[in-house]
Amino acid sequence: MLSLAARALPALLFLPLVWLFFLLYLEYLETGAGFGVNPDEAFVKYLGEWSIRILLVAYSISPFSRVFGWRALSKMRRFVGLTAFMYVLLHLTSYVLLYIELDWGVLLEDVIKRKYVIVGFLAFFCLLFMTITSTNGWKKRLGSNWRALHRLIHIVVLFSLLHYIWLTKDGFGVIFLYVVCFGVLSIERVVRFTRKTG
Amino acid sequence: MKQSGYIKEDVRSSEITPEHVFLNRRDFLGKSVALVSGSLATLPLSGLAGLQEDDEITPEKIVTSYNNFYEFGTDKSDPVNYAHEMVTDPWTVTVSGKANKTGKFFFEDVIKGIDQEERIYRFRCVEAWSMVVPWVGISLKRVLEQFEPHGDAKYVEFKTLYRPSQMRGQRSYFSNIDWPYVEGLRMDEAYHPLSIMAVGLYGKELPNQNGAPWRLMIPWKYGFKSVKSIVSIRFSDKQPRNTWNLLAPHEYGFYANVNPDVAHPRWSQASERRLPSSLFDPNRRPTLLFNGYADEVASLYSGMNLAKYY
Repeated sequence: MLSLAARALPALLFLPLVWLFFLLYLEYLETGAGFGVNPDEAFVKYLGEWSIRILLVAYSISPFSRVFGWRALSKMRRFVGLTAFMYVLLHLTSYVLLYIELDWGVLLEDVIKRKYVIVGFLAFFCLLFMTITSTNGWKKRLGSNWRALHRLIHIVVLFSLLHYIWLTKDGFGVIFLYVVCFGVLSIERVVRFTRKTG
Repeated sequence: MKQSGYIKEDVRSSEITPEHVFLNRRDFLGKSVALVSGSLATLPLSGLAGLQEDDEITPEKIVTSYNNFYEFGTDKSDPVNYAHEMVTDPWTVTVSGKANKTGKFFFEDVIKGIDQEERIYRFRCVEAWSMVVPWVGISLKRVLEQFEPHGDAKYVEFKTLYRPSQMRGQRSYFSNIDWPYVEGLRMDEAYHPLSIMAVGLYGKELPNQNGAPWRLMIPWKYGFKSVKSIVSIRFSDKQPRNTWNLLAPHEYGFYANVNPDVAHPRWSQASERRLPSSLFDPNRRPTLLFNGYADEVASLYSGMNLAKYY
């Protein structure tokens, strides 16, 4: 049962992408049909929303496999993490294409002046660093430092949530759910940490 | 319906509204509506807040289904989905503050006898998207004058209905807004000929999601100034607070004049997306000072630092 779920998970993670292409096709057929009348915003937001969801899935793998002893799950951590990076990269690319329109002056202004953009980029670079060092080769080369380095995931999730909170005007319902998930997953880590040290 | 002068000369009323448009909302609406064909509309009015060359009227379906009306939720589609839960009949308006005629009035009585005109305005949201909307409006000046405001009434404040039982956004635990929604204008802004109370759009009565039965429409300001479903009008000698300013004072000011040079702290206001925009062919255009109505309204703010009074 569990192994079946573990096998289904990778496919599930790509469903939002399949749906995205379907909506793109609708948008191509008829303006407004896929992403509504303000499609740039809807497109960037869709990818951002799924970035954070899949990041949270990746973030939940270690605690779940520890608490429930699901070893099959922990083997998928790298794959889920890389999938999350793919969504984040698409989100960032869509922002640069649709909002910035490749105008680097505009991008610079955003990066200098807007704190939600700053934490967004910080989260991206942390995740990029983790992605590059995710190979077996880098794991071997870095040895014991690898674990420490990949604790960056805490920062990535935290900054992603801040990014979302800081760009939201009002209506914090969905974000509240994400923060609760982050909180619950962090509690397991804190408990484990205090047990180890105490 | 009387056509106002604020229409591009080659836009015929027949393109926008059915030939005879009578608003059905009780008898009062429509009573004063008379279709005056053209002489005003055919004047060359390019210098008079007419539409720009490439301004096209936004399809009605978009204007009535892509809305910010947080009383019904924060998604753009929430108002069209949930605003029908609001009952707008009967509708009363409470007038208070520095005026001779204060008290509670029926909406029909307040708008009775004021000519309804079609006004085609650009509508620019603070979120950097825009539309072109054919409103059915009445002069805000004429609305306010009937209450005989005192000489020291320098400001006017408007409030939206507060009725959580019919407005699900007001019941939300995840909103920081202190309901009811409140907005204000300086009296000289309110008395400006471009300032209207909209009672309809596309020749029909105003749909709930657009602020039924009436809402403010100040075309040179960001959309959040144009408060919807108004139940309270208060005259004051002090500048009233406004909802978004209370929520985030460094992001939303009292004036909220459309200004491409004053960025919102979280995004640039230099350009806007004219809806409908397409992913493959974005309809992006530069934002104009005072939303293109500078010739008409800039004098209201002469000598003011627009970056400070944003």
